[in-house]
Amino acid sequence: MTGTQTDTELLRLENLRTWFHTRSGVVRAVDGVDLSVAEGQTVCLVGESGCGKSITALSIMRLVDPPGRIEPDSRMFFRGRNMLSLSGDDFRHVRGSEIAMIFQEPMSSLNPLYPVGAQIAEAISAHHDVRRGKAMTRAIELLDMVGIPSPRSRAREYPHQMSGGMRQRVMIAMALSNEPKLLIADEPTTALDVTIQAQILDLLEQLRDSLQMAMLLITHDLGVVAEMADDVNVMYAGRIVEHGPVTDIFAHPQHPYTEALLHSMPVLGMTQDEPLEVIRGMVPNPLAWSEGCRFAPRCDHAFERCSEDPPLMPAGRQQSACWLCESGPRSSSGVEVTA
Amino acid sequence: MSVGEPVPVGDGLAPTERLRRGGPLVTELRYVLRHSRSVQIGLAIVVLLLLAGLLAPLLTSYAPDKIDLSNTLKPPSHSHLLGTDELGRDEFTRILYAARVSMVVGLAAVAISNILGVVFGLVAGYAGGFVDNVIMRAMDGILAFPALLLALLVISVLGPGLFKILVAFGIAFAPANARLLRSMVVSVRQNEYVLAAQALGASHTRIMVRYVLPNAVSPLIVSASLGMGFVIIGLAGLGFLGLGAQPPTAEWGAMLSGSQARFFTAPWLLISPGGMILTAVVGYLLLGDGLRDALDPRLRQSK
Amino acid sequence: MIRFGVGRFFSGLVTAWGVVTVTFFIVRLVPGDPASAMAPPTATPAQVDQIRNYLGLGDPLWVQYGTFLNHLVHLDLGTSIRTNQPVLSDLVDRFPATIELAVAAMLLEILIAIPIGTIAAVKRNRPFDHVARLGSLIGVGIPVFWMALMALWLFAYKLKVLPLGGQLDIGTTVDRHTGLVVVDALIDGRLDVAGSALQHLLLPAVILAIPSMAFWTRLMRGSMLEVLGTDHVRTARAKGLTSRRVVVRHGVRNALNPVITSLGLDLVALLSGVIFIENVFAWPGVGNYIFSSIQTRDYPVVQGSVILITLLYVTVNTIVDVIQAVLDPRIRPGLQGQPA
Repeated sequence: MTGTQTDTELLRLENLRTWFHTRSGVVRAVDGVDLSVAEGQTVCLVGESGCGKSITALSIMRLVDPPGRIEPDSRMFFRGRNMLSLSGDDFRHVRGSEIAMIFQEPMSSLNPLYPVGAQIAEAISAHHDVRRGKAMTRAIELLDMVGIPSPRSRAREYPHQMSGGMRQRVMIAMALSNEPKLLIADEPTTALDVTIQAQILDLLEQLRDSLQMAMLLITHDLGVVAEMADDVNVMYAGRIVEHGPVTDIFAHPQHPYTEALLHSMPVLGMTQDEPLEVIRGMVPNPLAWSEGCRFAPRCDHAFERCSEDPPLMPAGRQQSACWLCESGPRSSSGVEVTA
Repeated sequence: MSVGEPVPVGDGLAPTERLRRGGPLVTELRYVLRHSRSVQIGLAIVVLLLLAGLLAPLLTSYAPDKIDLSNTLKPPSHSHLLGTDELGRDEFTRILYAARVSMVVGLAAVAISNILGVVFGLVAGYAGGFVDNVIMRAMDGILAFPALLLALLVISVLGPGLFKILVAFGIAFAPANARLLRSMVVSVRQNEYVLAAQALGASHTRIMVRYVLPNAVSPLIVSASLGMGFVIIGLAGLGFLGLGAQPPTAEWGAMLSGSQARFFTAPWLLISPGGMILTAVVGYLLLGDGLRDALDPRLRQSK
Repeated sequence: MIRFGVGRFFSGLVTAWGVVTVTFFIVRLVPGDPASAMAPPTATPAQVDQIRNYLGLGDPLWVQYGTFLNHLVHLDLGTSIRTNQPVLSDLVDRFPATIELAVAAMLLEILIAIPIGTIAAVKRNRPFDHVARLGSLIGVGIPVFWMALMALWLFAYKLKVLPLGGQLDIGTTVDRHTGLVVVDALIDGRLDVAGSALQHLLLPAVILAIPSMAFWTRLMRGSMLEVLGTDHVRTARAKGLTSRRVVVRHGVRNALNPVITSLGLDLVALLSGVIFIENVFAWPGVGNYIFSSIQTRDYPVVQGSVILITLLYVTVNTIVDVIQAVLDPRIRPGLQGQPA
């Protein structure tokens, strides 16, 4: 269930803030995120839609377009180097080779006009000085590695001739073509059929283990988290509200939001007598985050202290941005994770 | 804020809601006016031209067809702001009166194209099937012809004349509107099934009036504005060829043609009519473009 | 693929047929005697009778229509009243000159507009973009004939840099091989004449190209903007490709497809512009021919030209459709794979 854990830190985000300066105001999509990924580790970034997790991923890849921009006080380190101070050209060498990313919509993420093999080969040639023939051979190997049958003939096909699951495999092959140290996967299975989802997750697990690759997995699906993660970061309203090892998070979530999330999942074996718990209220408007704890309006445990914004504080082996944890871990009801 | 920049008009309504409510048009227009420079400049030009045309008799004391053979081809001066033409007529006056002609022909042609377009679009969208097919093929056929050639064809048979030109352009620009209306009807009809549960027995006319037409107003305004631009330049083109307004009616294109032979001796006569055409067309196009960018739901977002 | 092309051609022919039929009916809708309406005021009764015979006006309508279609199939477009020559041969005579202009203009506009539109999209909202958009707005709005006159005045009269009109200097002639003067001069090895012909071609072609250039720039910019926002461009950037490669191989390449569909439209628009340009620059092409025919009410010529232009439009569209299929694997017949 878990990948190899080493203590070598691969990626570290400090106070990442990505703001969008629109006409209607400033949207603070990512508002002070601290996050780290160690070599070989699988870290999940969980949250509902609109919490800023995709933007976080795009920020790491420096793919945020105007009017969005990474604000000056943000820090990002990869293998010890300051990523945000690199020029665009220098960073380009990192992007796609040391850090790679796959996206949510395989249907539209590939260029419809070129055969898939050529697109993979392109990713290789962008970072290595190889002849086209060699790149193509490597591309075919990669297609094989991700489990595509008859890779040689498939390499000449166009994206529209393939199913969603296949296209996602192609995307994975493309991302892995330069043997990245870190793979960022933004909701890689959300757009796929359930049976295919399982296959793709299995594939990712295999590859992670065989290539000893770290993974930052972004998802809203706690089932995926349970299966894949070593470390979990729960995100809400642009910030990390809880962080910790996966078993601890599931067993005793410290932040009320995490707790509520876990309880809103339908569990196999539930009956109609146990109503699904719903988190009341709605995700706040990113144009105007409220003062104080952003989850307070929806929280059943809110009290006066919550009018002040809580920082991440230690709570056992986890960290939680909640005043309830000020004096240590609180008792909460978690969910069992069957290993 | 800059020329033609898409303006986010966010009112928080989901697309289906807008469809139901018919859109708060006036507030949108007001917002657009305040934020799109393109619209501001375009509108300013259009209004100025309209005023110039309407107030022509007040702005100048000369009559546009007053011939004065002792005063031909004089350069601009105090008494003749833009000089005189080959028959001694005051150029400035003729320019103003020509503005009238362009405005009237333009408005009429655009009105025709909008009405025809709406009618055909509604019928095609509602009837569907064979009727829809026939109408749309006819529209495609007309679209295959550039408006100018169509007008030329009509004139070559029926002889020149402003009325014929106006009708020809009206027909030439109708298909674009028809397509627009038809696609609106089709999409509303699909939503109709949602509304049908509530609106059991609501007649087709009611649905059209309540849901299609209000949403059609903004695109039609955009289309009208752009259409005016194209009609004006088309009319000028025909006038240049001598096939538009007939003498002594003042019309920019015809004025240019008249000055063509004299461009060695009186180059100033070239500048004013052409400049007016350019200004008028750019004005309408800016207005139309600006409105379209601002009112396009796709570009609208508060992301 | 051939079946695809032929299929497209035939559906285009259906549209052409519609247009041609409308042309047929327009004349006959005129109140009074169509033959007299079609003839210029200066026509002799004999000429009017000639027209009447050609139109078959005595016969019932469907016979007339049959005759009309029959004429078309035999490529008989009637006889010009002015020149007394068959319309078709008149047009064929003058076509090369217009083609020379049109091709030169198209080359210019495509070579300039595509890069400018692309750069404007990439540098969106920066100064280059604003200038480009303003420029293209003016380019669309400026009357071609006015530009032609002003340019002529400036370059030919004031600066005396370029010739006043015509395809060649007065007195110079070229043996007619293709009818394209520049090409013919080159074939004959007369470089000086070719040079002079190019000089004559320059101004009219540039002026003709300007409105279309503006159109293509706007089109390209819009298409590029859309493409640059797509997921696959994001993927391309995520792969670590250089910006240039992303823009060219994943941007322009994809943006060109929808833009190409407008080639047919553009050609027809050029032909409208040509009427003015040939007038101002005294160019011996089809435009001038049509123009004088309209002025002298030489209807068979107008009708014949309209039909020819429509057929040209249909042919160009068919070619464009085929080119599109070549460029876009999604619409190629036979390449629709099954999702495995």
